[in-house]
Parts: sequence; structure tokens; C-alpha cells
Amino acid sequence: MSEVYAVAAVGCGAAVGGVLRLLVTQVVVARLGPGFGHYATFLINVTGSFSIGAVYELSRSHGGFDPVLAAFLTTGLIGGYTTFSTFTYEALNLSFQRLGAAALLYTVGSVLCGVVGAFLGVAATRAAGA
Amino acid sequence: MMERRTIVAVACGAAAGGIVRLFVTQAMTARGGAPFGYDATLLVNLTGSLLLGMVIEVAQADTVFTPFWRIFLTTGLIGGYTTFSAFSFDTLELAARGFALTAVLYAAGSVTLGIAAVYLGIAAARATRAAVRSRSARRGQGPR
Repeated sequence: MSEVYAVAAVGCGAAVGGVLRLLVTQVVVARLGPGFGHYATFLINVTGSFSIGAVYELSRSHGGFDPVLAAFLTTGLIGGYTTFSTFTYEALNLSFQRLGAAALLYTVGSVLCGVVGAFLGVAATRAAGA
Repeated sequence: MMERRTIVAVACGAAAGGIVRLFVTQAMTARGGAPFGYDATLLVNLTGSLLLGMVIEVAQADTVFTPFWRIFLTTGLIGGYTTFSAFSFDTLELAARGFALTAVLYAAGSVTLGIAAVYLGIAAARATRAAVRSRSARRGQGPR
């Protein structure tokens, strides 16, 4: 029966995460301009990666979260907040606009900063002793 | 600044997308997939990239989708279905467990195949549209 709660938790979390992603994108595009959507995606994916590292470490140090809470936070909220499809679409779009260097920088930068972000999320939580 | 309809579209789409991602992950884990399910994340991210290419191409060229359904599908459903956080965390986990080569292959493979999948999605949408147009032109109806 907890299966049903996990599905509901993922649905609710992903709904909130998706709306957060929409908000961040709209704020970034309103400040920088319509051609800067990939800046927003970069920011979303790096902060989301940091958060998943932090939540993972927090859960580990507390002997594991309740499965429904874990589903809400990781698969739901953070999984729905970050996006891979927009990332690959924007990378291709940049190369279509003959911005090959920007496309390369965007892809390599997103992956490196994402992985480092996740690592820092774990390390910061551990350092904070949370 | 933000329309309520847009928020509703994204929330509903992302909820559905997240649940589909959960089901795909559970199905692959049940079949005995890779440790901590990075193969499921790869499958989700590649199919999502393919779908996003198709949907954006269809939405740009035709008047198939209203703005509501367009953002429901793109930012909502497909955006919520795919995930970058699981991708980064999987890569970190692989590297931390000593599978450095797998980590590099997983990261590089996800990105290159993901971009190729978007391209394929766009090409498939264009080919379908061209086929539909030429069929209706042969019938003497002309492109609609």
C-alpha cells in the first residue's frame, strides 16, 4: 500500500519541481533575454545536482528517510526540477545557430558542474554535521 | 507575470512525467538492471530527448498544439520525465565506487546519444510531415 503513497509523493514532488523550474527559467529569461534559456537550465541542473547530493547524504546519516519522503524529495521534487531533455535540446539548438563553442562549453560545463555539484552537496552536508 | 494556466499545465505535466519515470525505473530494477538504476536513467533521458525533439518540431511548424498543450508537453511532461540530478548523481556514484571508466562512458554516452536523440526526433517529425503533405497533395487537396 505504501506503493500508492510513493507514486502520489513522486507526482506531487515533480509538480512542485516542474513549477520551480518554470519560475527560475522565466526569471532568468526576463533578466537576461529570450536567448538565455540555457543559462536557466544550467542553473537549475547544477543546483538540483547539489540538492540531490545533500539529500542523499542527509538520508544516509539519518539511517535512511521514510520511503515516501525519499520518493517525494529525490525522484519527485529534485527529479522534476532538473531536466535532461531541455539540456540536450538546447545543446543541439546552440550548434544549429553556429555557436559550436558555446554548445560544447554548455554540455561539458553542465556535466562537470553537475557532478561536482552533487559531490559538493554530499561534502557540505557532511561538513555541516547534519 | 505568470499565467495561472501555464502553472497548471506545467504542474500536471511534470507530475505525470515524474510518475512515468518512477514506473520505468521500477520496471527496469525489477528485471535486475544495473546497480542503483543508472540504466533506467539513461533510458528515460534518451527517450525524453527524442520526444522533446519531435514535439518542439511539430509545435513550431504546425498549429497542432495550443500554447497550453505545448507547455504541458514540453516543460511539463517531458521536462518532468527526464532528470539531470539522477544523471549527475549516478556519474558521481560510479566514480566513487571505483568504476571510473563506466562513469566517463555513462556521462559522455548520455550526452552524445541524448543530443543525437533530439536530432532524430526533429528529423522524424519533419519526415512525417513531408510524407503527410505529399500524400494530401497527390489527393489534390494541397497542403493544409
